[in-house]
Amino acid sequence: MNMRFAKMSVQNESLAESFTVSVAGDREVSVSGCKKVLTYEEDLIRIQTRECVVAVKGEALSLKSFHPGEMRITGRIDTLAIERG
Amino acid sequence: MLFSIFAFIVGYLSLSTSCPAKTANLLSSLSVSSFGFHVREGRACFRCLLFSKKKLLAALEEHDIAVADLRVGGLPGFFLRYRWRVGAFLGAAACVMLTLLSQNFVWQIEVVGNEKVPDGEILAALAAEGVYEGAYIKNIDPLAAANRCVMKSDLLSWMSVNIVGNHIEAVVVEYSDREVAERDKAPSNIVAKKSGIIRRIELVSGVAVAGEGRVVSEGELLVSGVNLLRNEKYIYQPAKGKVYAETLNQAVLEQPLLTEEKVYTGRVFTEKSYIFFTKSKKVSEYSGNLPANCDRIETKERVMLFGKIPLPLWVHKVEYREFVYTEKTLSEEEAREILAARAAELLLSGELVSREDAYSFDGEKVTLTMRYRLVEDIAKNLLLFESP
Repeated sequence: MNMRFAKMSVQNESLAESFTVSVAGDREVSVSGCKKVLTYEEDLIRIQTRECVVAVKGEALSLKSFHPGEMRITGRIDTLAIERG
Repeated sequence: MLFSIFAFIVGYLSLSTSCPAKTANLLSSLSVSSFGFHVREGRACFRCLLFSKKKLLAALEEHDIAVADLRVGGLPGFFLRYRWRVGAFLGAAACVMLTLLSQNFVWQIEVVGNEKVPDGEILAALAAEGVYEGAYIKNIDPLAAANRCVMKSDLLSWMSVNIVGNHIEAVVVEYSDREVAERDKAPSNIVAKKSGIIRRIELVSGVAVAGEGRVVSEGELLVSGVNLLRNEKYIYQPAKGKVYAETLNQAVLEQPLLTEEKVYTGRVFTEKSYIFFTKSKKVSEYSGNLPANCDRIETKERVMLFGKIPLPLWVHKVEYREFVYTEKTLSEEEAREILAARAAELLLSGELVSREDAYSFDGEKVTLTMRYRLVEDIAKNLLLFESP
């Protein structure tokens, strides 16, 4: 079943590892190992992970699901960037 | 898809907030189920299940996140919006109740398999056994009703009453001619009901006494029901069959020139009623005195939904059309035409061999004397132990 809604639960931080980014075409990006959303706009979503920030730019971006530790972004994705520091 | 249906049933809250990122993090931390989350014109728009409303709104206020476009959706939202329209809810409840209740009554009866026995006769027989449109289904014993109908009818050999939902299908099997003959066991002869020359015999049972070409007179034995066996014993059986003979007939028909003709005045009185299942409700009735001379025309038409789905509702209309008799003087030609039509009806009983017509006119009436030869069935059954 395709989960259309997000259910938040507390994740044990000790289990959190380095982040991973999965890209499916130019329509979907999954980020695991994330902590919180820093910026959420129609054309830009920045997600804070353990080590850095993952920035996704595009058009009509939306967060399809956001479990603690994992988020899925859909829309027309133009740029995927990792910001350090 | 399933979740959308679930959310519609339990109800959802639709809202938009400022600070989309902050809202997303808040939803995550509160473990609030949300869906359709997207950003539009710098605001986060999303929906969440209705039972999270209190917790969510309190948290949003605590974090100074402005809320706008708050709306309750789904079934609870619908009932909340129209809570003062009591009539609509009562109507919907009544509709559901009627639909559930009407499932216990017969809506339609269909007769299948009959060729000679009319539908109306079979339906009337079923109605006498408690099977009719509008009957309470649980009171119907289909097997007993079918058996009783067959026992009471001389023309049906088998019947099955099948109940499918609100629809009843009555499947019948009629007796064939041979079976009807077999049911009549009384020994009988066949005698001639008129004089004539035998042209052909169609024998079913019995012993033919007269053959083709023989001239027979009225009352003469044609087929015997007495059969002599080899051991000089007799058996008695019903003689069955048809005997076609060429008969000579004469008919004298008269048509006076001065006659009466029925003419409609144009005045029509109508009574209309609606029949729902078997309950009739009159909507219009003529309360005055009907004229002395009027034709009564009765029609009963079933109401069809969208022209295809039959409803248990009929429109029953009775029309009384007034007429008067007026004197009419026919011409000789018209009188002849009327006589010719009447003569043609007489000839329908057999195959015409020859015909001679003679017309006469005495100033007041036209007379047709018709002599005709017809090949017709002259067989008449006579019980063996009954005197002619």
